Amino acid sequence: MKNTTDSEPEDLFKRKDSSQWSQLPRDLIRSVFKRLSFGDFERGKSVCWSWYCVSRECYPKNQIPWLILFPHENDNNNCCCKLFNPEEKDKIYTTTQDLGFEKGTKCVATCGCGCWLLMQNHLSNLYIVDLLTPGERIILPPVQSQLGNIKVERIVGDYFRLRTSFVTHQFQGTLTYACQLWVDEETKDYLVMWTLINDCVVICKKGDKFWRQIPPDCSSGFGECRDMVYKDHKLYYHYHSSYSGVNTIRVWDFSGEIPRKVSETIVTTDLSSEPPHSGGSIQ
Amino acid sequence: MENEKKMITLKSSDDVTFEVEEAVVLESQFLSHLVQDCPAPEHKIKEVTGKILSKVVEYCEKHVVVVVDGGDSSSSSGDDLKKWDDKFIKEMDLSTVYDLIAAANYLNIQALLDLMCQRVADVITACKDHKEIRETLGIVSDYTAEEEAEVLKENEWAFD
Repeated sequence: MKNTTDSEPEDLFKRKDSSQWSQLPRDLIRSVFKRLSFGDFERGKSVCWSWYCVSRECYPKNQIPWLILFPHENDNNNCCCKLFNPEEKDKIYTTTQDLGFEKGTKCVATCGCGCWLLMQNHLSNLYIVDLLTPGERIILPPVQSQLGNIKVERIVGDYFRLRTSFVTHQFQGTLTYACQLWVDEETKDYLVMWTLINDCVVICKKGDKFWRQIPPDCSSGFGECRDMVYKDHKLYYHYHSSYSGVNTIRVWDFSGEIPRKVSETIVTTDLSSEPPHSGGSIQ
Repeated sequence: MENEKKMITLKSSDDVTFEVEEAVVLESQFLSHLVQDCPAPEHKIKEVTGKILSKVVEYCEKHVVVVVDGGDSSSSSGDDLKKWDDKFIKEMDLSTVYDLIAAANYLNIQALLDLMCQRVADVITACKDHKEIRETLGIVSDYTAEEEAEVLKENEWAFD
């Protein structure tokens, strides 16, 4: 297949012998790919190696959110998702990859930029999958691997024991509340966070082997996280003190190496009608 | 009262010259800096041929005029500009599109770059499969047979 320029500089994304269109600078190919609809994007990446590489760094144009139907919990034979794109009314996509939907697995968060899902299995453990790329699965540290004052112990299955400086309590069920997922389109860096108990948020970044508790000295506070939202490298966190009844919005900045608390504001309007963990968001 | 317009001469790699108003040059970030840093009356742009530079100048002149006149009837002139853009890219062959993308990238004219990338996206959209995209753009696949089979397998669920 050698027929064109031989003098091109060697580079990982520039194999020899392809035409000028496959050798456009990567940011320009990306700019073209971002304008393609889902189907055209998939066709485009089959064209050549350099285009394929670029397709891994961006996402198709998608103005309308898709609908995802997960397999039925009791259907052991079927582990595929069904996807519906409102722009293509007559078509339903069925994913062929195994997303590991064993019984009791559920999606607890999504990342708006692409097709990343934060999944939780029946043991409360978390992993990230890319719905559109088979085999793209990131296993997160077990939920009991904690770095901070609160100790988490898995007794068996989904029975946990939590120890703070004051109390120890045992319970069965889901450990993770108000999960948030953020994935960088290009670098595939990710950040996952959820609330453990009281005012403690735990986070895990790419490369972490543990869940880090924030603030690191948390163990006090008679209250709970009602909800949280992660946006533009900031975490907005609604804390309700059951002792004083006061609602506060805390803001943490994650843009630096170490997360930093930037503000804490007491909210005077009545938020108490909102039940905990209802899935509502702070606007 | 009419201000005197400052004129600048641009010279292509093959020595074709274009005399344009300064406002036209300011559409390009690269040329804006060049004109600021080096107030010579003539600027040679070694990386762009006369054929392509004429297209760049045509595009920038059109867009400057509309922006300047757009005060009273902005929405209709916006529509006209879009029609003009559509005609501008439709008449162009793909080899010119390629050179113009490279030139817009080099001269840093974001609006022109966006327009050209959209044209390429439209070309891809008009193709029914990856083979037709290759034929249209003259791309020779550099996948090995195994790699190609793997990539096609990866997204076969999207094309049942």
